[in-house]
Amino acid sequence: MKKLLALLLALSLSLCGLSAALAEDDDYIPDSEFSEQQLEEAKLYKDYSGQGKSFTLAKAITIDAALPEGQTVEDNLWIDLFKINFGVEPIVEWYAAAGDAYNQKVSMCIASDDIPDYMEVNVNQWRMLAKSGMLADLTDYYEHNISAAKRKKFADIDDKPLKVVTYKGQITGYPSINPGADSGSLVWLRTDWLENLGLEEPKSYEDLTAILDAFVNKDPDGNEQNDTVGLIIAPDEYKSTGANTGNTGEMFLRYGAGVGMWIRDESGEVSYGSISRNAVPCLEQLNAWYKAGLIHQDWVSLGDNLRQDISAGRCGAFFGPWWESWNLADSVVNDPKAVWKSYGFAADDGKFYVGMTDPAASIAVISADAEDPEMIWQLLVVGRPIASVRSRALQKAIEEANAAALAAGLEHSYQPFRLNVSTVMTVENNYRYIWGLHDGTLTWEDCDKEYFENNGGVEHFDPSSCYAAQVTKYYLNVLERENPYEDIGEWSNGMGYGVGVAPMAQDNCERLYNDFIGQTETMATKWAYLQTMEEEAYTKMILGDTDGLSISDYFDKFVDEWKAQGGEKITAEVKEALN
Amino acid sequence: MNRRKKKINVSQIVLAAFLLLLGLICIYPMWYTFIVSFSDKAKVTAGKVLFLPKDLTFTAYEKLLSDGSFFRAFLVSVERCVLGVGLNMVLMALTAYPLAMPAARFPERRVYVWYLMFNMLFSGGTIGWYLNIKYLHLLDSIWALVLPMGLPIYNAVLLMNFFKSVPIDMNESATVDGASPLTILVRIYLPVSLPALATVGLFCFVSHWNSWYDGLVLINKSTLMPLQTLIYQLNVRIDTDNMTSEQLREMAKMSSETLNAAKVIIALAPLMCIYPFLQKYFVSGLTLGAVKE
Amino acid sequence: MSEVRHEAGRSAFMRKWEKFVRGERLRLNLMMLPGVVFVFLFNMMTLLGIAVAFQDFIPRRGWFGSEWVGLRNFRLFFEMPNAYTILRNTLVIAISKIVLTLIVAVLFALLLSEIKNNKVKRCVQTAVYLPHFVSWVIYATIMRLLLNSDGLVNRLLTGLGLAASPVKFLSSKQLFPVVMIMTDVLKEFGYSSVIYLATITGINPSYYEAAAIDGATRPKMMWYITLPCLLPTIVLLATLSVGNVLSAGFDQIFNLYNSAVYETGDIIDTYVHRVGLVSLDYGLGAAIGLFKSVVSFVLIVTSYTVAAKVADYHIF
Repeated sequence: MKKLLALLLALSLSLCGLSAALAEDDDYIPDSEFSEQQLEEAKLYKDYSGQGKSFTLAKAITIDAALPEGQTVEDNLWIDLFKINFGVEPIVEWYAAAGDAYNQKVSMCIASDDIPDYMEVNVNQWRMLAKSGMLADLTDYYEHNISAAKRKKFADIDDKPLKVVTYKGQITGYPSINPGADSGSLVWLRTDWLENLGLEEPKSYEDLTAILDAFVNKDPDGNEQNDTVGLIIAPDEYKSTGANTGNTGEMFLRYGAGVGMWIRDESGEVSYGSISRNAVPCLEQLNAWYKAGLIHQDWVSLGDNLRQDISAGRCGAFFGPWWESWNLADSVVNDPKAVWKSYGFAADDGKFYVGMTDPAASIAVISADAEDPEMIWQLLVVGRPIASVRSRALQKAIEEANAAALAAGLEHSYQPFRLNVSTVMTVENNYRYIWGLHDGTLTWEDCDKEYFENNGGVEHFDPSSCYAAQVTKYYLNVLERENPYEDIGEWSNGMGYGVGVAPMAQDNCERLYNDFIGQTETMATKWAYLQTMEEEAYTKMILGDTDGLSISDYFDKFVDEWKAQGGEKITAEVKEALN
Repeated sequence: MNRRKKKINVSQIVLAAFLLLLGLICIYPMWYTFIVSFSDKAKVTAGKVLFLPKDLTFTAYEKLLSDGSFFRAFLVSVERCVLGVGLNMVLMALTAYPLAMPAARFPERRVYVWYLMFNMLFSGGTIGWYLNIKYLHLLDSIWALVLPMGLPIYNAVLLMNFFKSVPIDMNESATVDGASPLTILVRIYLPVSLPALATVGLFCFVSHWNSWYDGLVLINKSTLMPLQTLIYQLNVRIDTDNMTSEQLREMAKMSSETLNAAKVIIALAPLMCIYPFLQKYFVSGLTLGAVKE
Repeated sequence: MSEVRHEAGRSAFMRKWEKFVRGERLRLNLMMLPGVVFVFLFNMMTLLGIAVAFQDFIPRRGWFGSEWVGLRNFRLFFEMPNAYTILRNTLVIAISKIVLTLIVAVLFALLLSEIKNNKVKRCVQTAVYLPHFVSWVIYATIMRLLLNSDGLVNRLLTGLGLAASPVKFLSSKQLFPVVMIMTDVLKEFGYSSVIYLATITGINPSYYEAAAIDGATRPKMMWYITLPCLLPTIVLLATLSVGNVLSAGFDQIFNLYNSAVYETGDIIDTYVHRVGLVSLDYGLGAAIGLFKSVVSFVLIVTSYTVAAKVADYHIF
């Protein structure tokens, strides 16, 4: 009996040991499950886990009471995910609201020589940091510590972003690459008004004249009141490189003027687009509209009340970027009959020109005083290549943490690193996915394959773990419904991707970049004044406040003054810098 | 007799009516914020809210009541005000009294006046101010919010002016009796200057309560962020030129005028409570009449 | 002989010293001490920061390592083609605000103190006091609501036939400064009147009783009693505000201005703000700050001296 028990015990123990050994083997993910490229990328990964490492960072966030229960900026599910993923602790030293508050705090940190290990800053702040020698030199990492795919993202646009963050030969920042779509300013129109008035969709800015006239004078909402207003544009928002509500930049581009951009003109020389004579017809058109009452009479002073008439259903036409759907939510809630659509109009050569935001709008910097700059670079740039996670248990833990954060509705802005090095075409691609899936011409696997490859094997196109996929699902849901506004959250999240970005997803959309980004010597002292003069001049020309001169003559006067006050000198410096 | 009374009444009514109308005009911005906080967001952005809340809703306040960070900021502001104003009153009284004394009794007076005037007008700029506080090891503590504003010179000068108008007789008799300046200040001047103290005390309180820049720049710990710093980050006219398109997008996603309005109303609440309490000193006319024979 | 005189001299000094130590003067000086120390610690010690105005300030190198550029930062500002316009705008707007707010606040205090009904008094006071606490961001939103082409004010004006077409309050360069001044006065006069009200309540009522017995009317009493009693406070506040003549109200203008009104609305602070954001120029910001301080100081000292010499009026 004893012998039998002993045998049984030995057997069960060895069985346990065997299954444990087998289980361990099960946990290890073998090479065979990854592609060549993924394995290659995983070689870059350095493991910092288990050493109790940490680093400090500062964050720009949008302050809101909508942090889910128990989450704080310093301690939330995204940070938990980060810790599981990397085994390193990010410590949020301070945070502030994006915009003025954050900039003021950064400015003070720089002035007092007290910056955290990691920060995201704008070009001017980067420049002061670089000048002061407060940043770690990253040049070497760009050679050795970056995957081919990521390096290619910069190379694809001639390394322009890298040139921005180079100071005296050293690259001291890691620039963001914004989604290209973000910089396009489109014309948003209420198609239900077009229908009410029996008008056709416009194909050019000239067509808009008739439409605007009808919108303002022919009672498009049928309420028998003369309460509708004209096209909404914003003062100081005319540069082709920006996109915000009211920005007319792309209209100037249609006429051939890259306003606010340094680009090559007809003669092949680089010049500042705002002084190109091509801007004149556009200014004349805007002025004509204004005189005829087709532009909102208060456009100059609307300020923060810019969207009021849109939300109230009094305005049916305005300029805005693809992501206006979040702002339009109020409009459709107030008037469920409203239907909005975005338009982009081609120039005479058939191309729809869009000016791109400066590629280095947001720059990640690592402090020269950081204990381990290379570690921070690794965390930021190399990240967690798919093939670097070899334990199934760990992989599961990561997926669960990711899903938990998404499920809790935690905004992505609370992640430690918020730098957007996306594919330039990411939003346009999403547009294709949505309609492909809706038509049935694409499957989710097709989308995933492309998406996965595009983002360098970091994220799968899965609605439960990927924001882009989540939004795609939202809009597909919206398309299924009788009443698209039934779930206003899904509509406002998805509509931009499904409808807003349409003009930019077409084949005739041509993207233009600034040929020169940075600051020359004279710019440091004169640029602010020249910009003020430019803004004033453009606003006055649209208003027709031109001291009795014709717009064309006033423009020439402005250009002469611009050149005399330093513009000529700066142009020469820019040309030199580019050679 | 009767005719005179009637005349006064008519002019009183006209005057009252005029002033009340003025008051209504002044109160409108506050009223607007108040009704916005109770209205539906879509209606607010449409500009449909003018005199009354539209689609009455309490969601904004509900959200706030469950928001720990908002109330923490509220308490931080209360703490700095209590400490700060306490310190202010003590320092102001101690400074204003000697300066109110005639030069014969206090020859050094001129020196101090110049010293204070100079300091009121000249400072080392924001960088100097920040670095100084940093070197005093006050950063990231409640004392960074309390101590640097210790002696508000402008208000102290106002208090000095009030003290000057106190008839000198009581002072002289008490001095002859052997009382020290401190005793005279506490026993005679303070009780008799209640309107003045209420005024400068109110100014100091308002100064502390509304101050947001020091909270932004001197404090990193989110647990020590004062209320107005929090509110500044909601309401500030964000200079969109310097924001990435992603930040703009996120702003569009999360903007909420009604929530911001509710925060502003709650932030104003303590002021609204304190002011009526102090108001009686301005209205009832506690005077210096006690001094007259 | 000389020794005796010496002894006598020394004890005279010693007596004086003992009197001082035991006496009031010492006590008064001691009372000043805490305030003096605070001011020293938190203001005088920051004065090293003034150096930044004369430097090409590089943070890491600090005050002692950054290059000295003398008056370059100041020159930079004055060489701007619009420097004159900016200064002019600042002065016009600031002085108008100071003068108008003072007048309205005093008038209001006088009128309010005439009201007998305490309830009315309190109501009006609370109401009038409130706008000061509304931040300019909110106040600007409301101003726009009211002053837009289809806002309340224009609707009233066109409705009553006072204007042919809507008035462009915020986008006309002629009207913009006027609107800035008036809205600021509306916002601040109540708060400013608090001091005057407090002073008025401190006036001995027996003065009024005596005047009433002599047959004075209320307006006469206002002129001969109230105003003179208010005068020291008015002069003091006027003198102190003279130092603010270069601060025309950044928050307000920043929230309401636009490129159509730069010509008359751009002030020193808004311009510096724009420049600062672009170039993070610490030196320029510090230089402008110093310039403002110096001008304020000179102005206050001047008005003090003028009041002292001309009217034999010692303000401080």
